[in-house]
Amino acid sequence: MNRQVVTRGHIDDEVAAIIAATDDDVFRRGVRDWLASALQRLAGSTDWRTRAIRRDFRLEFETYLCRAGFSALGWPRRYGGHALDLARQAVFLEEHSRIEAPLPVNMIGHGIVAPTLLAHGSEEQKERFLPGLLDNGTIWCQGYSEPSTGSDLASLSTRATRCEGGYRVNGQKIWTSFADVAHRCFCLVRTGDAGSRHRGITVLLVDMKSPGITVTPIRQITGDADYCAVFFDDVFVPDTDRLGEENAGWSIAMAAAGFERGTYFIPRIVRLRSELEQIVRLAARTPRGDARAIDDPRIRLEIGELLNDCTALRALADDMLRRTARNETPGAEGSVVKLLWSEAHQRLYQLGMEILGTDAILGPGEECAPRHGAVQFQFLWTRAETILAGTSEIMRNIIAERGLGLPR
Amino acid sequence: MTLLGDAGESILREPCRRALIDAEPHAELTGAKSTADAIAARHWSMACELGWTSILLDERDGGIGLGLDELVALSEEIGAHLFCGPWLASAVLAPGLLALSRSRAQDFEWPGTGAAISLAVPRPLPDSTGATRYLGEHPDLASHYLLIDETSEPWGVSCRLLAATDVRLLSRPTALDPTCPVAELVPAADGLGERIETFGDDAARLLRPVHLAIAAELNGVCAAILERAVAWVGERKQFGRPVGSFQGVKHRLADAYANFTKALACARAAAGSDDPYDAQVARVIASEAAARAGRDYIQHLGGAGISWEYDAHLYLKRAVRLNAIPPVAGTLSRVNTDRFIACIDV
Ligand SMILES: Cc1cc2nc3c(=O)[nH]c(=O)nc-3n(C[C@H](O)[C@H](O)[C@H](O)COP(=O)(O)OP(=O)(O)OC[C@H]3O[C@@H](n4cnc5c(N)ncnc54)[C@H](O)[C@@H]3O)c2cc1C
Repeated sequence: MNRQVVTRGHIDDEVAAIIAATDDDVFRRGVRDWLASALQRLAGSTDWRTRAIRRDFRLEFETYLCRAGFSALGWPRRYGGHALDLARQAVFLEEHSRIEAPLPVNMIGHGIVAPTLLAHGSEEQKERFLPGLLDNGTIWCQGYSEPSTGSDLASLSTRATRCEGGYRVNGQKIWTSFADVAHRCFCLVRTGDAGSRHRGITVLLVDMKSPGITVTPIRQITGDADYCAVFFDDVFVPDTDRLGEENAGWSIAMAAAGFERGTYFIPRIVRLRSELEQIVRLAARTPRGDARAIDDPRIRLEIGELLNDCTALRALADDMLRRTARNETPGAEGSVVKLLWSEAHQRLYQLGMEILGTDAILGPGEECAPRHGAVQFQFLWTRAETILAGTSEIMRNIIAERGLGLPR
Repeated sequence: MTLLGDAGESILREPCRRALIDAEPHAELTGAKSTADAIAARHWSMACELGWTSILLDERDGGIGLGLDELVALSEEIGAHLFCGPWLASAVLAPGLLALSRSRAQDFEWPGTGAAISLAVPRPLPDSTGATRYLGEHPDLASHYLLIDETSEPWGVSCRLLAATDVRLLSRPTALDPTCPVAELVPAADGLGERIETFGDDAARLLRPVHLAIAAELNGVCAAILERAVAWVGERKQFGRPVGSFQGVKHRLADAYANFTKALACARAAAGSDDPYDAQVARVIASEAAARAGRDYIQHLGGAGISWEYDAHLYLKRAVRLNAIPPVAGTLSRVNTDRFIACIDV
């Protein structure tokens, strides 16, 4: 049972030494220095911060990290992971956020697919799919939403019909993030009859190169096109690419959502504090009449509230990590974390826009704007965070019904 | 439902919870006559008997020297079950002052573990002669008063411990919180009691258990509010459905629960944190969560929420009282912000 299922290829010697460090401070300093020089190396003469929100650079940096050895930090060793404890994982995230390293693109892959595969995949599937996550060679997307299916996920209608050796899939997914660069799709399909709701859903791990798939990027509020419409026209998916049993997809999807709302948001919560520090720096540099924006009592008040939230959310996130480590599936607490974090993050950039004053009318990512237009970008982007992965209203329903047991 | 969780991590929680449930004062307090003094006397002798007043004290002072985790667990239960008595000054602040005065070789006459030391906070306006009047809790019970004074900087603590015989009670005003009677008082003469003052990081360390205890007590209050509110809205039917199935009600409760979860995690983490300032944050977060939940609780009950006969008002009033103990959340938040901003290299 304990045989090595997935073997990781060669990793950077320096990274191997950092991972093996027994001393916490040595580990932290190692990660910090390594990240700084890696960013320098990749960005060349330009400041990486100006490129941190660009998708190509995010992907390039993420893959560089993974190939050097900074991936699968918490997975068990026999799947090629480093089996680092939570404290160490948190240190890595803290250093990643302190230096404002670009956020990963393959979040679905590392944050959702990996833990779900480890929990529900067959050994053959783990063997086949985990290596692509170790080296980031396989980018994943998540095919849940459809034109008529959003919050009410159990209503989905993209149909998979049985055929020789697998399924034929027909239908359409929408708002699928990064589908245009993804190699695989973690996809929910209808295998039961039309009215079967959550009892008739199956998870397929669809190869995005399959004949019959068309991907059309959709432009977003930020001007970027990071999500897509995905059309399935008689797409063949082999049985070996089904995760779990037929019609048993709902419970897998719920477990995956638990990972998403729990562990997936933790890096973002860790980031909140350094983001707030950036906003404070911005306020200290922005003139307001004879004074600076930072001297404005209203702005200070809001900074104070956000500061309290940073500390409290971090305590909540640590609690969550401990539960995950004890193999408790995050329940309503995951929704609490998602709700509070996404709303605090929005307030942070509303504050940022207020500090910008007239510069707020410059576009997202605009080079001549303070912080290269990152504030405008985040202000717009954070609007999405109370919608994606379950809207705030749905989070409140879950918290009330599952956390407090209120009647439906 | 017990939102505070089971014993698990704390040795005190379970026995304390059982004792407090047996002693719950709700029925007496919501009856025709308020009888807080009698309840407090009962609660206080129970607390002394069970050793709750000495959990932070060193063993050489007759204490049991438990840590902040236990303080937090006990304070949560105290809030949830409406314990009445001068717990905060006796069991939390006074032991801290004892330790501080010892470290400075300053005089602090320690009245012993059985003393009922009541917190006495200054009123904002002095009397006609310019003297500060204090509001002291539990005058029927107090053997001593710990008089808190304003300091020139918000990061400071300044206080004096006076025997009850060394203060003059001016009046017995009605108290907002029926679980905590108050008296208006002044020192009986000038120069009584050794003044203990401390500033900056020392003050933050001294106040750390105080903020934690208040935060935890507020979290206990909040847990009780949520449990009771949920039970009520699940039972009460209008338009043929439980009112708790209406989203307007549900989402308010979901927010209250989210804030409670955050406050609980924050206070429990602050008990083990290296940074004494985390306790202040925990208090700020808990103060907002409990006050809001308390106001909403009244709303969820409708007309019954306004009635003395139901217990909703008891929780709101306790939250208001705890939130008025200086330094209040607004001050803590402001000073913390200044400190955070000053630390950032711009
Ligand atoms: C940037 C971005 C990226 C995304 N990426 C992906 C992805 O990669 N894969 C994927 O599958 N999906 C993705 N989504 C889709 C996302 O999951 C859905 O947008 C979300 O689940 C909400 O569904 P909807 O947009 O259809 O809104 P609707 O469900 O139509 O909701 C509209 C409004 O009604 C409210 N509402 C709905 N039901 C209730 C209720 N029961 N009670 C109270 N209020 C309710 C909602 O809160 C919302 O305010 C992404 C979305 C965004 C914005």
